[in-house]
Amino acid sequence: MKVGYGWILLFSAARAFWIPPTRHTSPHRLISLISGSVSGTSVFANNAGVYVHIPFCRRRCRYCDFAIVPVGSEDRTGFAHLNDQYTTALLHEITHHPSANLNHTITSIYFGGGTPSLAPISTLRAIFEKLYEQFHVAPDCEITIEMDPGTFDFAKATALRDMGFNRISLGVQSFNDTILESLGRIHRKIDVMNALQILQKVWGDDLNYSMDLISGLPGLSVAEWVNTLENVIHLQPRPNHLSLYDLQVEPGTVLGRWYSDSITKSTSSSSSSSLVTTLSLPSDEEASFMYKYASGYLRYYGYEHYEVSSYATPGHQSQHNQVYWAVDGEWYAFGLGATSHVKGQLVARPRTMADYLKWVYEPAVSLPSPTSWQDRLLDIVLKRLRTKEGLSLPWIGETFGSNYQNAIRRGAELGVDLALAHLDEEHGILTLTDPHGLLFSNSIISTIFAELENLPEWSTVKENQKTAV
Amino acid sequence: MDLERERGITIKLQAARVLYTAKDGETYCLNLIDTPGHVDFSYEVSRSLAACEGALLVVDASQGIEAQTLANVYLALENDLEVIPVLNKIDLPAAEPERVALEIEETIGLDCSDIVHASAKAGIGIEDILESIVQKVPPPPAATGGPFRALIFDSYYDAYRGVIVFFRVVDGEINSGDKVRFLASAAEHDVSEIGIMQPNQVPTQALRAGEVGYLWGNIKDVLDARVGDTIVLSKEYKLRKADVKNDEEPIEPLPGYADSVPMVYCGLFPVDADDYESLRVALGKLRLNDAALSYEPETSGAMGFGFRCGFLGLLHMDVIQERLQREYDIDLIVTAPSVVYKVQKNEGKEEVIIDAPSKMPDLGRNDVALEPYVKMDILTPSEYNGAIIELGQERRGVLIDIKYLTPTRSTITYEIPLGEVITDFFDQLKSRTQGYASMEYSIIDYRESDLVRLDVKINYENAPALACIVHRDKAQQVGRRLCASLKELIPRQMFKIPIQACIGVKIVASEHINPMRKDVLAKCYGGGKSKYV
Repeated sequence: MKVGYGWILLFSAARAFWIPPTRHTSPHRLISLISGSVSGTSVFANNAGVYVHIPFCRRRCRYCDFAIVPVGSEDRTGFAHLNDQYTTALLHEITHHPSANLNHTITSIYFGGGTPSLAPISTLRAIFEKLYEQFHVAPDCEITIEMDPGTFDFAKATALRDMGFNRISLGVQSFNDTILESLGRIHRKIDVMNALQILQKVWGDDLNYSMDLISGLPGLSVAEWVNTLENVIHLQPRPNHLSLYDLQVEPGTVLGRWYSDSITKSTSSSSSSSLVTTLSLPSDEEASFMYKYASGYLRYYGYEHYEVSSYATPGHQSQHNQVYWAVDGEWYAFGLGATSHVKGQLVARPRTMADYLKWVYEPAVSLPSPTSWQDRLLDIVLKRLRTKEGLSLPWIGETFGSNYQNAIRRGAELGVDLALAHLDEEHGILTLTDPHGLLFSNSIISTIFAELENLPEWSTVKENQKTAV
Repeated sequence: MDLERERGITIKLQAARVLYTAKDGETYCLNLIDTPGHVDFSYEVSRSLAACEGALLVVDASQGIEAQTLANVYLALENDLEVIPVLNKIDLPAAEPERVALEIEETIGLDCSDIVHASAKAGIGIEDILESIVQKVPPPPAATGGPFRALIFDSYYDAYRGVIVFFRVVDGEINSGDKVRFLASAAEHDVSEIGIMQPNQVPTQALRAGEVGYLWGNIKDVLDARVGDTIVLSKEYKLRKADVKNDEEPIEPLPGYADSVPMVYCGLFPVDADDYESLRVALGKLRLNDAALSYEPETSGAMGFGFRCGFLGLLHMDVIQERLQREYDIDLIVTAPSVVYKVQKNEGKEEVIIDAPSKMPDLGRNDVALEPYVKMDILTPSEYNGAIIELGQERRGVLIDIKYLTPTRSTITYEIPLGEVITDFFDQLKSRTQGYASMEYSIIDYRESDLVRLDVKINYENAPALACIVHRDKAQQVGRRLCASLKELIPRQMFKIPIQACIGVKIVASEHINPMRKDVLAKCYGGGKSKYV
């Protein structure tokens, strides 16, 4: 798209309307900016997202290191009490969060977990109402809930729709029952198909759903992965969003115990299922192929690969996730282990239930200091390069200084030489190539970080516009 | 010392004077010195033995004779001491007094027919021990009538009083207020106080031949009063100096003094370069109380500034490292040290000192490389002769002689490069001989050696910090080990990385690191960069 003069005109038009902090003139959010001004959204259009964490799960999957609380099943007697306690605390947190009086418009709400679909409708409704009470929610706000197949029925789905949820994220991970069992997932392929049927019945043509899948799983061959993707394409209706994650074996998880860095075969003899000990992790070569194949295949079928792990049909990118990757994106977060980022401050909540409950009811202690300008810059580089839109070097130059712009250019040189990164000289936009650049995003970003951190001015504290707003 | 209590060992000497009324009705004055048993401190042990007439060989009745037992006994016998065997810990259920007594008789040859059975913890046999001392240990020899001489067997640094010196008077008399001279260091000091240990320090006016005591007098440096040195009175020294020729000692020093020779070396580098000063100060403070610790500055391309330190042994090294980390809170990197080489160019006209591998030039046809050699005497039970000779061969030693001191004990003499000694030779010697062998060495000269500089190339680029100087015959072996270690340590990159060890352009060993196939963080949502890079 040729921007040129039109860009400058809109730029100044935008300026006339609002009194924005620097970030709003970032070309990175150009699209939403234009649409915002055209639709005449209100004058307090500081957009933000809200994340709510529902930590309950039936059990902990073998790859999971999130802040979750395994509860067995919802019929367990203890669950009601635990849920009450948690919900009360959560509502308390939402009511008393310190940013209550910022003029944000909420454009996305995300209920994540854990397994939010395990929470009783009453809980979800109470939280919903509280959010609307405390925040100014945009009428076209994207409201997502994560759901696992087998944890909801027609009635529940209907109630969720009626409440206002307009997007579902379905945790599938794989269509292969053997693999699902090995991961400790409680659902099987049949449950996925049933879940989809329910969703289709309830939301009909309005159904806007995303599906989570994991590549590089133990026992997953390249052929089986190809089959997984084919399964997705043949779903009726197809998901209009996909999150494809390359498996990260995390320390402290069961898979972390079974598969350490240097071995690809599980050597544990004490695992519960003898089945698992014979499943090997795909080699790096195979996992890398799975990533690249998915990218080509899905793009062929009309999905846009808009972030390292995210695919969407046009117009169906996750609004909520976009906030995470936007320059100076702001989001509130409530619940166990959730991390919020408002006014340049990153606040992480405690990850264990006991600590979280204690934290919620403690009088507000002094907030952590805002993100340093160095961290802000690194954050922006990291996040923008992971997206298809990329990083605007001229904007970096304007906002931070040309020396940083040049450092990034230097750091990206090797990537550009290896055809892993691409610099659009005309507009100064740096992107990582799809799929190879994205596949090595860590290395390229690290190299750029190293260039930045080596600058002599990196370790001096600066005033003026370099501090985070 | 905390360390002593923790490890259950004695590191520092303790002395005590006991007045004991024996069965014959006489009251005897016994001067007792407790010595460290550990091999690292054998020099200190030998000096304290030199200060004594007799020795109690205390053997654990449940453990029996250990390597160190033998080493100490031989030291005592060599010093012509009357050795009295004692069985200790007989109260333990695992005690086997008869078997151990027999072992002592057979291995050492001491008569154990009336060996004392004792338990220090239970208080059994203590009087019997004292009786046997009175009966068997000869009294100190009569003073010769010559000038005051005393043998230092220990010293330590006290923050308020300076160095406290423990000594045994061999001849003459010393009084509080006298001015003394230490022969080896030629230092002179006024004595503020002398006294005896009971075991706490009790001042007295005078000490005479045969007595054991301490003195202090504003002595700042423990190197002034070294273990094994002789103390004389300044005025007596000056009187006699007038009568003798220029380089003769006016008062004959007591025999057996020797500078402590480090057996084990290592490089100590602070993890944080800012800690270098603290490390220097800390080493200085440790040396105040430990004359055996030696250190000098060392720089390394890879590690920056640090020190090359010499120790009496591995325990000594261990203790010093632990004290540096614990008491001075310095994080250390410990490295294997190196020796100083020499290169003669232009047929001996030019000599270059090589104290770092990077200084080693490529040798032309007429250039000669030299390394320091030492003469080493290894004292060992004869059954380990084979193992020791194997070790010597491995370390490029030249066997000079094997002498049999007794049918079961030998001395093996080697001439061996110092570079092969200062790493883990001592440790190897001990482990191959179950701890029974001991070694002594001294530097002889620099000798021609086929030395080469082993370079390391990573991704075809030379890494000077990793270079080392080795003997050509060892180059391949060392090179292979180096490459294997580097392969493990260096992280993978997006391309294949060859690692090569070479002498000049010739590659003697190589490895490669496979490239990574992907390097991506799957999830990057609101949790900050904690999982990143």
